[in-house]
Amino acid sequence: MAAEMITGAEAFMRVLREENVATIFGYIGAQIGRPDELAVDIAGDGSIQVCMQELSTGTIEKLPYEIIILNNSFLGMVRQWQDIFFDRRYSGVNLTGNPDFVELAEAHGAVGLRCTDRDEIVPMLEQAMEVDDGPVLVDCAVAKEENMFPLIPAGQSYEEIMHGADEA
Amino acid sequence: MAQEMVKGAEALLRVFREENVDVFFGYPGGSVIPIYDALYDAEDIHGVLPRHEQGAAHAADGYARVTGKVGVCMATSGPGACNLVTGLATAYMDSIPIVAITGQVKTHLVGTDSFQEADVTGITIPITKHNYLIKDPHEIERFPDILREAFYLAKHGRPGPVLVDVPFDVSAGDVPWAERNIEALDGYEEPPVADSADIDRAADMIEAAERPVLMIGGGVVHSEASEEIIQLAEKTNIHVVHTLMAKGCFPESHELSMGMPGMHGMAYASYAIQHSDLLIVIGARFDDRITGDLERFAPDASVIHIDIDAAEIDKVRPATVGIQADAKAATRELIQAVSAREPGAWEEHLREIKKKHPLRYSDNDELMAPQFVVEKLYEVTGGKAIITTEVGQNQMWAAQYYPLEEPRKWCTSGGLGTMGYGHPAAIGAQVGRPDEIVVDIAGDGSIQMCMQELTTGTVEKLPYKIIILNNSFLGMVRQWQDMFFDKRYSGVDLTGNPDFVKLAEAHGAVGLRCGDRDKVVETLERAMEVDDVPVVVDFAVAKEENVFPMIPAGKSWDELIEAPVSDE
Repeated sequence: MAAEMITGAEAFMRVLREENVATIFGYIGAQIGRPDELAVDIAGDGSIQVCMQELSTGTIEKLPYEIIILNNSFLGMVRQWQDIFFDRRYSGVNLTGNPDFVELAEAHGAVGLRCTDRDEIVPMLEQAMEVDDGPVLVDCAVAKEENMFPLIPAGQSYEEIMHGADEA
Repeated sequence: MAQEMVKGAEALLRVFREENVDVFFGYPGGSVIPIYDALYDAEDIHGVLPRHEQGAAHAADGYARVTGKVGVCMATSGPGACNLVTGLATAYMDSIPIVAITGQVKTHLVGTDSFQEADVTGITIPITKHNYLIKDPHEIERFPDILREAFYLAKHGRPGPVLVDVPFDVSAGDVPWAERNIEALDGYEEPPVADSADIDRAADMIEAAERPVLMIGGGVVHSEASEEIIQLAEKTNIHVVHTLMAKGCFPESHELSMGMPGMHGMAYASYAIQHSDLLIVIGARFDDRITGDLERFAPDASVIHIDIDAAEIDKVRPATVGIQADAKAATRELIQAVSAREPGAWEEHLREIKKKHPLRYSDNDELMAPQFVVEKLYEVTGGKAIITTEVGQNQMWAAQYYPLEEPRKWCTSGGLGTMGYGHPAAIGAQVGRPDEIVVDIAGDGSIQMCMQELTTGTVEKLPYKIIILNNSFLGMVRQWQDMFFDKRYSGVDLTGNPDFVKLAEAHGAVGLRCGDRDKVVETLERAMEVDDVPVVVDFAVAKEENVFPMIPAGKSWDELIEAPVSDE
């Protein structure tokens, strides 16, 4: 019996259906995967610039995820290592000149909010959660040189754990 | 006598200085902290910080293309290095000299799935000329020489990207320092000098040919052989076609210039090749965009093939005379050996064909033709800008409508065809040649890929211009779906693009918008006046304009489609 001949592309589509794949993406998978839940990206100002172009995708697909930027104008983790282990010789970590994230969000058709005050955080986050038809970016100005503790320095052991700034 | 011991990171900077590297494009991270710490004290070496490592790789590439120097990029281990991959593959396909320094986890952790570890040397084997990793801490003393070798390999012979993967304990550790000049490498042969018998045979073939054509490729750029090509062409009165990579190597205003052949090349250029009886090919590799259907490509032509890489000779098209040599040196020999030749019937015929089949487009749509924008750009810049391009229709129109007169003013991803390349390449080009106008000709799809680099441009105060030919489509794919798939547009509609002007302004750059033919020149002039930040100009152009001529993939000259004649 002769086999049915189809194009390679059609074969790919048929296998996807067999495997129950409804969406192909390189995109914002979590929100697409569970559309009724709240999806939040907790971001730094450095990281968020790396894939900023995807705000267009979020807007076009009407995905209401939030991006919370802990904006300290630094590549924070590298700065922390330079702070604690390299005598505060900050090199290559200063992100002065960051874009205006609120304007950036709006240029993509997304909602942008800016928060500079402790008292504004909760109302602003609540405002963000209410938007249900597109991404919301919240730019939070945070302390510039806050370090992450506890810290067990790379390659050390639990005995060398550092609990706070005074041990740095 | 005790040898001077320095930190690996310090040795790296010393080799940079030996190699005249005063700028590199890099993004820090844990495994390169020792290098960045050494940089803290180095006032003579500036690290440009992109916002994505892909930007670093493409910037190093653009820098190399316009300066002739080795471009240097740097990334941390794992994801940082992986983000360089597209940029390395881009440089590899176009033979661009780049040294990529990537951090790596400590030598004793390599192979343990450590945090931010990736097998970068494994991943980049097929897309680098060579790569290095010091796995054994006892080999650390080789580090300075490994770096020197990397630079040597990047620029000697056929240029290409070389990656050096540097474990944290190598850059943080102590290495013995010694001055050394690398003059040769074991197992790496410098290309030979052209055999004089072969040169003479080539000269004889040229003399005997009735319909000769000279085709030059990217090798002419790397070899800096423009002058020699001009001399050869003028001595023999042979018309010159240039591939996409060689744009600018032979002045496009020269009366012997026959333009760019191939899939979207000028019809007269493809005609010349197709009807030739002798193809003199220098520094080109018979890429499929040039040849189309190989069985029917230049059916009557014998081939003289001069290339620095023996692997290219007879790879695609058998050569009657194949000469492995540097383009500049071999062309010089050929100029001596060949007799002067007067233009004849063939040259006369080619001149007529060129007149009869010029590039053309119609401008009947309500929105302006994208080709019109490129023409006006050419006028406003006097044809003197350094042009980078993205990929697709924008790239082809740039190649067609912005003629160039000198080499090293053209940065385009020819081999890999990488969307997003043009913007960071413009950054690298502007850094390399700060006093010149640099323009990225872009599509609305491509430009979104590396948009984050606008911050880099603004922070570094680089006044390059991005000209977006905005048709709200992934134009080239749409064109294929239009011409070959019954206009079944799928995945190409870019409705919902960001507001590019606001986007530019959010980054601290200048944003301009233009939807009116009559305002194009003044908008471009305004853009040129800005001298301290990038300028993004969003041109609304006809949505379904196609690139012509076109020789569909795998077809030949017989199937060339010219632009429909306008009804104006």
